[in-house]
Amino acid sequence: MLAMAGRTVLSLEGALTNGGGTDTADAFLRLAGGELDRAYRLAGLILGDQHEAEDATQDALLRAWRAGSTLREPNGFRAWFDQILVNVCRDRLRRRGTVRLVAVDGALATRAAGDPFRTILDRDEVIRAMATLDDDLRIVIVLHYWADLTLEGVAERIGWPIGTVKSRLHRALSSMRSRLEAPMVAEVRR
Amino acid sequence: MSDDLEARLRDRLRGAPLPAAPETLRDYLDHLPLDVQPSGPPRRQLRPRVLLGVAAIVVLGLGVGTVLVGAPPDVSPTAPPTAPVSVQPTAPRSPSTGVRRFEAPGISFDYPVDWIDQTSTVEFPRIPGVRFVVLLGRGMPVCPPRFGSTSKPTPEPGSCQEQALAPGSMVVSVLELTNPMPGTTGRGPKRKVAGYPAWEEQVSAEPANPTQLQWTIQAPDGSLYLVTAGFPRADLAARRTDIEKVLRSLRLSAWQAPPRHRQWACAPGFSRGFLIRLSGRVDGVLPARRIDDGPRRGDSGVTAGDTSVPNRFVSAIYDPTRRSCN
Repeated sequence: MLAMAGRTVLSLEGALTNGGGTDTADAFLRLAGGELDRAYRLAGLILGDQHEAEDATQDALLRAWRAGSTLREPNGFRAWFDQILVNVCRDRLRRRGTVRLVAVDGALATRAAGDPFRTILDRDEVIRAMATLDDDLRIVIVLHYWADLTLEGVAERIGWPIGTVKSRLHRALSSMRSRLEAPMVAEVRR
Repeated sequence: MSDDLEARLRDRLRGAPLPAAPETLRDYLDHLPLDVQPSGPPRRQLRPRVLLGVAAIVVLGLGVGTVLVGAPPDVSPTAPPTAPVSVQPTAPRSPSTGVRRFEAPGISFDYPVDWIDQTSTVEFPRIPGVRFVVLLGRGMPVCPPRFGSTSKPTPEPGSCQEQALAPGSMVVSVLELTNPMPGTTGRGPKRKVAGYPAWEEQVSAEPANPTQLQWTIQAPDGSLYLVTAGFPRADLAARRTDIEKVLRSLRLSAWQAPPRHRQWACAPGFSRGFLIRLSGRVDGVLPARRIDDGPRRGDSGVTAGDTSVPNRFVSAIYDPTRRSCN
């Protein structure tokens, strides 16, 4: 079965075998399996929808397997897979901007109401403020504060220069502060 | 830059009770198609075709396309392929969490609960040898087809849609050719689907959108099931994996079709098997009298019974050795 995957397998073997002849597919499945919960949660926080998070994670898994040749170090699996997942999420967000899924029979609305990610994004004022940010700003926040990545790590995941990450983080926090302070200002004026 | 907001962000985000990956995702990983080709050079060339019959079935305005080719006779209706172990009589399994079981004579499979079964909206033309099995919509309800009328549904915001153009949407249809001509196979690379011989093809060429994938799956009794999925081209990888997951649950078995409509009884070749070609928008039940008109059109085989009307026609392609109605 693996022979059909050609170059990818060979390259993956270079990165994923540990010298003891570990099967490439097993190694991939083991590493990906260890990241599954985290990947799904990351996608959910970025996309705010459990079904889209699942789709994005599936898509990322398949892309990761196909792109095995770009993985150089097994220790770098998480960073490498994060990159793929974040790209998949950003693709989905971009498409959202041009085409909206139309709720057609109430099923979609019901689905959204019970969505654990949406519930979390709605229930706390700080997270709610984060959820209103532009997509790229929100991704920076999630990667830095939820995934606990350094700014260099965030830059690596998204593929931006470190300066861009810093400026977007600054912009994101400023925007959130404005949003969080706005109700208080209104209160004082009253 | 560190301040109270940053601390609160860390605290709230890390303390949020985020859900674990669902079982369906774990199941997906367990069955990740590790035999997929990496992206790169084209994976195949179309083999030379001996076109005995082409079934290009366009129904419901959905572009459910079917392409079959005659091939070296590796299939014999008198000696159907050995049934995979999985289709031996067994107690039916309960569907897994998050999926619903679809069951019809000769076929069953599990599909995600958020797909909408729209089969009841379909009034498929009565065509000998073709059974419309199911129509499913993902993230969209499909507009009911209007056979017998040239008017199209007029989708309104929030109402039905004729094509899977929105991200995440998909239309899946299953047809069965109950009596295919000997040697008929699907087009595309041969593979196994749930243990059955199958062929997979990306039907629509770049840059068509929505795009279509089609699987032709051979049942133990020799019939061919055509599973066609249409979705936005950008969703190709994700939707392929969705369908693959459904196909893994597929179970096929022999079943006895009801007696054919009398009007078709004299149609040549039906006892031996035939292929159907539908093209354009199919409106109305086929007028059976036309099927007896005799051969009028030929590909590599012989075609009888064209029913040509503007923008649509139907023809049956049959075994030329059995064209007599005697």
